[in-house]
Amino acid sequence: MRRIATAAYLFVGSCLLGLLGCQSLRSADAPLSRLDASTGTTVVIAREPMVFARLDAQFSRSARDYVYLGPAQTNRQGVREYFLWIGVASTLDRGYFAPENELPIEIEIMIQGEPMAFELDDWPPPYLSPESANLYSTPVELQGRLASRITYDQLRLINEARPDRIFVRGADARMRAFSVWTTSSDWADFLN
Amino acid sequence: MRWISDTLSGGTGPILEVRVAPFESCRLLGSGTGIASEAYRPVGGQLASLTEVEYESLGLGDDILFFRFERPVGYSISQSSDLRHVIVKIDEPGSLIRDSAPRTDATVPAATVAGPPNDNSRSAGGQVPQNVTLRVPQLTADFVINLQSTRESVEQATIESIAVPDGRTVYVSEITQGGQLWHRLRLGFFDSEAQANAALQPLRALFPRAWIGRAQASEIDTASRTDFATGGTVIERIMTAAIAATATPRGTESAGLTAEQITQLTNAAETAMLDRRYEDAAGLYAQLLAEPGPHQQRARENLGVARERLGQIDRATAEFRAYLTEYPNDAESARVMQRLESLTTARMPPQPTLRRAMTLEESAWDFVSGVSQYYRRDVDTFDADREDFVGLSALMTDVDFSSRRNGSRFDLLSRISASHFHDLIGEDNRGPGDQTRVTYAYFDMLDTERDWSLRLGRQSLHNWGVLGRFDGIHASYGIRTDQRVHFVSGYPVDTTRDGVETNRQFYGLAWDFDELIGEADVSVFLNDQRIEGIDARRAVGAEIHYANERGNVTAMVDYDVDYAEINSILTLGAWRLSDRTTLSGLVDVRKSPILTTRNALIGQPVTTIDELLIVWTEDEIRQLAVDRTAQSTTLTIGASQSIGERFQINVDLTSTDIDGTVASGGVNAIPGTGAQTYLTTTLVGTSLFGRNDVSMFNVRVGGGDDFETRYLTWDARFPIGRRLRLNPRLRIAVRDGLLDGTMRETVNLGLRVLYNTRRHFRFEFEVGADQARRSNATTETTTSGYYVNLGYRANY
Repeated sequence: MRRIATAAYLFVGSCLLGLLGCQSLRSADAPLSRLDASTGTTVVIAREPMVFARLDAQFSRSARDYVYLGPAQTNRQGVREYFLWIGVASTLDRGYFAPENELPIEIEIMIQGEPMAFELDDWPPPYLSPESANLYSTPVELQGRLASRITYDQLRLINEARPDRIFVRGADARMRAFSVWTTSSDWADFLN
Repeated sequence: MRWISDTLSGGTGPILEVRVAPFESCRLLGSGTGIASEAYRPVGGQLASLTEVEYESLGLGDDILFFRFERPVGYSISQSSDLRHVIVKIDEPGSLIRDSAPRTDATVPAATVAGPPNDNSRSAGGQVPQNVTLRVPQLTADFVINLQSTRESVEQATIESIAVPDGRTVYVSEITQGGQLWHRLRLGFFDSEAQANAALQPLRALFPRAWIGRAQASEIDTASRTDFATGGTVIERIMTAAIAATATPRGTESAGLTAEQITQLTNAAETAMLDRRYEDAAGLYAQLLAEPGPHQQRARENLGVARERLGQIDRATAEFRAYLTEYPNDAESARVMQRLESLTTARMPPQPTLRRAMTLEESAWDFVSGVSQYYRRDVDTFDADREDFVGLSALMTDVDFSSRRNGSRFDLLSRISASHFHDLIGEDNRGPGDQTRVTYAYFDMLDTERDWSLRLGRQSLHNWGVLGRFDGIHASYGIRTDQRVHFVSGYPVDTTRDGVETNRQFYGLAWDFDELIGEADVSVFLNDQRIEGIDARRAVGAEIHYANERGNVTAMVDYDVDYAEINSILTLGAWRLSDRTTLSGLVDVRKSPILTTRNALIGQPVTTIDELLIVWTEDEIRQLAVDRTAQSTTLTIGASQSIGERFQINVDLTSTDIDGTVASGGVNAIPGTGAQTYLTTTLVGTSLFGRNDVSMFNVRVGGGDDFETRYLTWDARFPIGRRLRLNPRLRIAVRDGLLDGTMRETVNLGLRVLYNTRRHFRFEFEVGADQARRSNATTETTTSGYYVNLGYRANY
């Protein structure tokens, strides 16, 4: 029995170390530029997205909802277009222990003291193939991918603002606040 | 989308035009109502001699697909069954054109090119077919300069200071964002961000916080139809609308409609509204607004209603505001104001819940109920020649029922929660026997007008000196918005198996003060309890609660004035250092059990105070109560740290100490536990193996003067589809006796399966086994056992 207990401690300890190592699944080698081979469109992204989180404490104190924000540029034969890409994920068992959340229809970010709203559409746009859906690799599996057509100027302002909070509006018109989880500094590389 | 018609123009570079239109349900959502243009060269298109596909939408409802070929082709066209694709089949090279005539009688307009050449355009490289005009993808000309955003209206002088470039429009857009109205002075529209940036440079000094954005199609459409002068002329009028209202100021030149035509249009518009053809109605009302006359007033309001029904809230808001501007003192203005307020309120974020004002509306009765039944069987097995021992075999039924009704003044609520334990072993076989328990059975009434409430029945409180469950009354009254008094009285309940026991009674008073000390809420209370006619407890105390978005702290003290003893001092709190890190702490010093005269019965061969009074005086009984009451001290500090998005580690250090009790009244002394210290580490991981799975690893080490203990647990939940969850569990525990050399090792292994039906029901099955080994210097025994738990829960 003592051997079983010792073995169990070693097993769990190894799992702990392994799982902590698995934390950094977000690839450090995420490409900045990729080609959508089916449509011939080039997509450029930042190295890492901004991550915002929301705790629903009545259901769990260790699982959360997440929103990933990242810039994207598409290049179709020299015509460049900018997007604010949104990835929606949750580690909460929604649909079972907690009610499901609908995908957001709008995101609001405070920039220069002014709330700036960005309406969201499905990602990818029609001129990209489904292979471009997962623009950023995230530790948590995404449940939705959305984007807002945006300008370079607005992306620059978002990066300068480094918001510590964003507001997400669902189809039910309710606004939910998400607080910053990690702030990527790599938008500067994208913008430069 | 539905395919409407197609036509092929011949020539050396044939163009196939396919006209499509969104379905009505999509049109109501705005599809096909904006100006858009896209083009691209499909990969592999050369196989069909296809050089380019272009899509044009002029916001008129019908959209056009242009297919450009490098040679004459034959084709056939059809629509897919999912109504999302148009299928174009091209004949083999050399085939003649099959059909060059339009398939409908509709006139096909000449193809139009959207927008001037893009700044980013460049000629395509490589060899191109001789007779084909190459086109590059173009962006929608929706780039707009937001010159300034203010909470106040834009001043005329500000607008007049703008030198408007040729072909551009200056306008003001009002938008409610973050619950506040913003006025945005804008200059548009440009084909590209570079164009917009170039136009912005001369204006930077005047508008240093300007930014370039993209406008919605509806905003472009409305701004383009306004009366603003463009091309360098100072504008004469500001359209202050979120999406500008239909800009037809009175007095402008009319289309020359006769009175009869106006009547016909009005009737047609009203018919369209009744038929719920809101898009048609909006168009007709817009025509009526272009014609000066008294009919414009009604048309303005109805246009707003049509926009609202189409879900175009911003445009509806603009129409209602325009109405109130044009007809501020009209008898109908109140109605229009109501319409506007309902739109504005609906768009605001949820407000903090306020105490509800009296309303004339009443709700129907609302019933919520739940029932669960579980069969549980616990069996111990032994390694010697002993029969298995069934420790538990029972069917447990729980029922919970509540009803609620919100009246115009009174809110009513009732709740009953009960359970029945049906022992399948039987008392004859040393089973526990059947038991029925009533956990809650109360009736609530709340007077929303006078702010008093009453709860009557079996209930539970742990505030204001009340020690838990009781049968009685709790009444409260709001003296002011920040003060509330409470009165509680009843019979304490020892166990939910018991009925109403009247040998003990208590009453208590409490006073709540909101934000009495800064932002901290304070309550003071007194609680008096009697048992069989003598004083059991007379306590005074206070509670303080403080909370903000960073954390919370609660402190409580309970002092018995008769016994001159502090019953409990409790302080606990949690503080969030950051979104990832939380600290917590607890200091709990209390009598164990809480000091009441009833403690004198502990260890005695009698069960009532009256029986004790035969032998002891009241003062001696009170001394026995003190002697039977130990003091417990618990200190805990903890920290919680999130690691990435999927992991969280919690660490807690706890120290407990329970004093011993002295010997008295024929009851032996009970030694104290001594200080015991535990360190618990928990690692929680979510979404490790798939979506939404949870794994929790828990390690606990600790001990006291005479023992050491180690616990290891693993508890996980794995989703299998939407309705099934697997919940494996493992627990390993080891306890070493330091003084007697004993050791006990236990391993528990279990699997629980949860299944949720689409509605109402959850089924649960659990099976587990355990093995325990006890050993000392001379002997070793091993026991094992298993359990089964099977049941369901239904909620309605």
